[in-house]
Amino acid sequence: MTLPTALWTDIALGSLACIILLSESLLGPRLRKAIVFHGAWIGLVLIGILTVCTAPESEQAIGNYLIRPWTIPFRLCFCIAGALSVLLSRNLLSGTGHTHRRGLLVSGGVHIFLIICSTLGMFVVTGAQDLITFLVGIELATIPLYVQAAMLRDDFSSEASAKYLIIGSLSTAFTVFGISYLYGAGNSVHFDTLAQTLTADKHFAWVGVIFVLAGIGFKLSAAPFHMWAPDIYDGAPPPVTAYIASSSKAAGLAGLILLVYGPFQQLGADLENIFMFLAIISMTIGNLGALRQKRFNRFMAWSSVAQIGFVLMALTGGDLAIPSIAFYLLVYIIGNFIAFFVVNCLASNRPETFSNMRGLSKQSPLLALCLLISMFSLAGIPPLGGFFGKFELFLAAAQPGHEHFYLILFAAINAVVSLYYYMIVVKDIYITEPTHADNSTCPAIAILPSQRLTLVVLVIAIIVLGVWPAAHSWIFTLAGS
Amino acid sequence: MEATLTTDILFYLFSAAILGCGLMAVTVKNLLHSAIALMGCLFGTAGLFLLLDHEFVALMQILVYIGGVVIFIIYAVLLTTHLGTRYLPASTLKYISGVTLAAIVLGLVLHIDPQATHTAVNPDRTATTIDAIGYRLLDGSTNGFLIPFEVISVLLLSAMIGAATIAKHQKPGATNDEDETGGSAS
Amino acid sequence: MDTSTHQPVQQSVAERLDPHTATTPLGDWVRELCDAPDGGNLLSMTINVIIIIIAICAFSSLTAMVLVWMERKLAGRFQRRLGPTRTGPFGLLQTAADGLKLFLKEGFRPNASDPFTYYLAPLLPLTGAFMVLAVIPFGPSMWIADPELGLIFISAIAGLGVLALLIGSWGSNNKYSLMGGLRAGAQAISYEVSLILCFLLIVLASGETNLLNIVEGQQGNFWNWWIIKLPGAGFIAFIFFIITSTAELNRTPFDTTEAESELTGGFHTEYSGIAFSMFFLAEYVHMFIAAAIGATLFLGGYNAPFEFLPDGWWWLMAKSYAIIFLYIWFRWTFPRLRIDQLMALEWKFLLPLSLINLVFAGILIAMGWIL
Repeated sequence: MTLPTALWTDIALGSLACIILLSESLLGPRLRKAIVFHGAWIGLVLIGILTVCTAPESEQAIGNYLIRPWTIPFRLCFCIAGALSVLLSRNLLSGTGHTHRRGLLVSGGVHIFLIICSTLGMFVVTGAQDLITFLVGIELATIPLYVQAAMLRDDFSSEASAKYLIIGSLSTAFTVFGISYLYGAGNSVHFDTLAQTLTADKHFAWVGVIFVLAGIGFKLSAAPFHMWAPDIYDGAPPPVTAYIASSSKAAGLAGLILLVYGPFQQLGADLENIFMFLAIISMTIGNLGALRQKRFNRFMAWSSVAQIGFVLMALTGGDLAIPSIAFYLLVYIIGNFIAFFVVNCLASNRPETFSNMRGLSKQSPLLALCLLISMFSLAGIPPLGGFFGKFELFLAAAQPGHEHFYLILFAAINAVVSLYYYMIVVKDIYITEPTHADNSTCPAIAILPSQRLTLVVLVIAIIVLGVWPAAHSWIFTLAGS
Repeated sequence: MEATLTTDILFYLFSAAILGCGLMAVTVKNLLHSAIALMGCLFGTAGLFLLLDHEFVALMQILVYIGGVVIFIIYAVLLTTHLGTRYLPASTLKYISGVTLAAIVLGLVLHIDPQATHTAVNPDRTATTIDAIGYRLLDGSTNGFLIPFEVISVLLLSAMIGAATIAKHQKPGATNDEDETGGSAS
Repeated sequence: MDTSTHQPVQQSVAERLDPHTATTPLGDWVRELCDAPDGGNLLSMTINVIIIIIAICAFSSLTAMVLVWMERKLAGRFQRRLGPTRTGPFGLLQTAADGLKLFLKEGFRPNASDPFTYYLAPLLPLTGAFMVLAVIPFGPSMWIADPELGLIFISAIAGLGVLALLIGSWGSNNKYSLMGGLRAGAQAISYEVSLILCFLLIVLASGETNLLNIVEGQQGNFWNWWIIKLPGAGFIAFIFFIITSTAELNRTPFDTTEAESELTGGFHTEYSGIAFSMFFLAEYVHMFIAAAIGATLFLGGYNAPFEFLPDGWWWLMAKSYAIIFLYIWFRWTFPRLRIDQLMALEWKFLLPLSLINLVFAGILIAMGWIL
């Protein structure tokens, strides 16, 4: 049994987790600080580069584990999100001389270890070739997050963790129940066999499909399975929130694509209708929710519900769906992380409400500009990456054979609505004058050098992804189109 | 498995136990009582597995679910409540929505064509003996589950380390006082 | 390694439901009486099951009586006393008298307790004990059930023993009871890990989970018993088994569950009369069961120590009582551990060492370094 080159990334990720854990428990404090933090993010970046370098031309298998070419951009997304999440936790780690309004993480080393474990779980999801591996991967991607959500010692964090645990267990229960039905209907857990045996006329299969979709819907926070998102986004530590908002979503989407183009491929048109339904209510509910928010993290939660709606819209399309979703996810992750980096800087000494963000452009022009770009990208304003991401999604849904023009029209209206609330944020940071009360309670904003550098890199990246066609086509080539 | 009178009687006995205990688990007010009812329900399920000649699954049902999960539930109840604790009453709305949801699921399951014959997926019990399961788990070929087996160990490791970390009692005086004074200035 | 002579038959459920398929004269006689010579019908099966239940009940009450007497006698000797002498020869009837007294006592329930859990708890421990007794092979043809996964069955049922303590302690509505119950839960869950690792070592060595096959695999002279046959590892595992089973039995030095000096009576503080005697009875039956499992796994079960001696249930009894003597000896020798010391012992000492021992045994088996 020879080891396919593409598998090196998974092994490297597992080894990185071991190294972090061992150095956290064995090394002295000074060395530990350097190796755990810098080792983790550099390692994740290197693994991301390795992922691209070892990208296979065709599917590479080891036993039951299959590395598909189209998952490479998703794997890249997981690595980027992991590295950014580690960088984002910088001002919550002890020993950096910095502090956060909500205190420090209980154990920074374990927090970073869990991020890597979770990333490994996402890798496993993309490599799954049977339902068992799929489920185990999803669990490995999710269970560390329950712990991470409780890493701050305040009530919000505990509450977020408890809620996440309960909702997550519920969604797992749904998934497992659905998988048992799929197994009953298809007489196998292997994707190849299921792809042939699961046919649309099997009612038995539909029970399974619906429950599995519901389970993944929870992970994606697609409406109507979105109710957990605002509380958990608000309560979890900032790096964990950002990670849940980006990587966890990406993993759920990768899993969904895996199922749709694998075992569910014969279900065809009916499945498209389900996605259409989910897309429409996700967009609508997400937008309506985001309109009314006062706190930034809750706002991001609702906006992510709406964004997932757009992604699900693309899934109703044909072959273009995978690369367009991959590209969109990359842009979405970068845009999200810019916002969370800025807000994390703000939140280190004040609650992250919109009213506290007023006058940000005067206090810190850099942060204000970054947040502006992030919001523009999320709203889909050219020439930023977000515009092309959304454009590709619309294009995917309009492909010949899948012309869902009413859906696209509906999505376009929703995009306009979302423009409104993203602009409210921009208005708050640039135009609205802070009231006296807002100003007096806010001390100066501290930005760590590493975070400042990361922000600049991210902003450049999102502009490059928007204006440089080569970057765009590179992702599409990676995704095998 | 050929059906005999005895197995029929046992089947209905176990099914009655599952249904009765399950109903009790969701309707009883006292949390500990519902946990005990859940235990009965799981025992019934184990019995059904035994009737289907799947000893290993039945025993794992007892070992993992009753010996593990229910004991942890009971432990949690013991730590958090005592006799005289007022439990939150379930509102009528919750009852109605619960019953509706149950009805929907029932309808979904009944919607499955009752005429269709569902052959048992794996009628021979040699596939679920402990040896067969062990070999299958450690089989690296496309037929085996070596990778999920290995990944599960990472999963358990991360879950255990995570649980131990958040459960760890913070030492008094180990708060990051010095960091707090130094940090806000920069 | 000996190839096992006994092969559990691949039976269907209906066959396996009739426990004594043509193995004992009594079972055969019942079947003949019911006109079902070849396999048994519902009536013969019911009668056989009832006979078995009566046998188990009688055996466990008798065992408990003997053990209580033995404990009191030995306790007396360890403390340079005589122990019970008055009732019957050597005080043998003392336990019977005590039992009678307990049965005649008024069984009352504290006013503020929860009747359902309070009355459910005393019923559970004996149920588990009976279920385990059913799979222990007492002799070559002296067993009630012979499941292929006997050892897993035992570990599954053993895990349930703590339920009674948890439920009963909560239902009593007494803080000492609750403390005892919580300690019992923590202790049982922790030590079960090491206990199952000890079981696993035997499964690894013998390649069997069937108890009868494990015993048959140790036939011959005493150096074929797993305690000696696996050089070093078997003996270490046996010691770990003794420690963890003592903890699972909640016996001194691990009896934090009912530590009299701290918790008055622990989980059974509020129990009296027959409910208390059920707990008491179960405690001693469990002690016998633990010893019998230890004898079966490590000391060759019903096999005689030398080939020329006849095998039989008396050897199992002798070995079990030797282990029971150890348990009693511990109780009157060691001081009680504090609950945190107890946890540290398991998680920081026993568990890692059991794992290392398991790996060690795996290497021995893989290299074929078995006596």
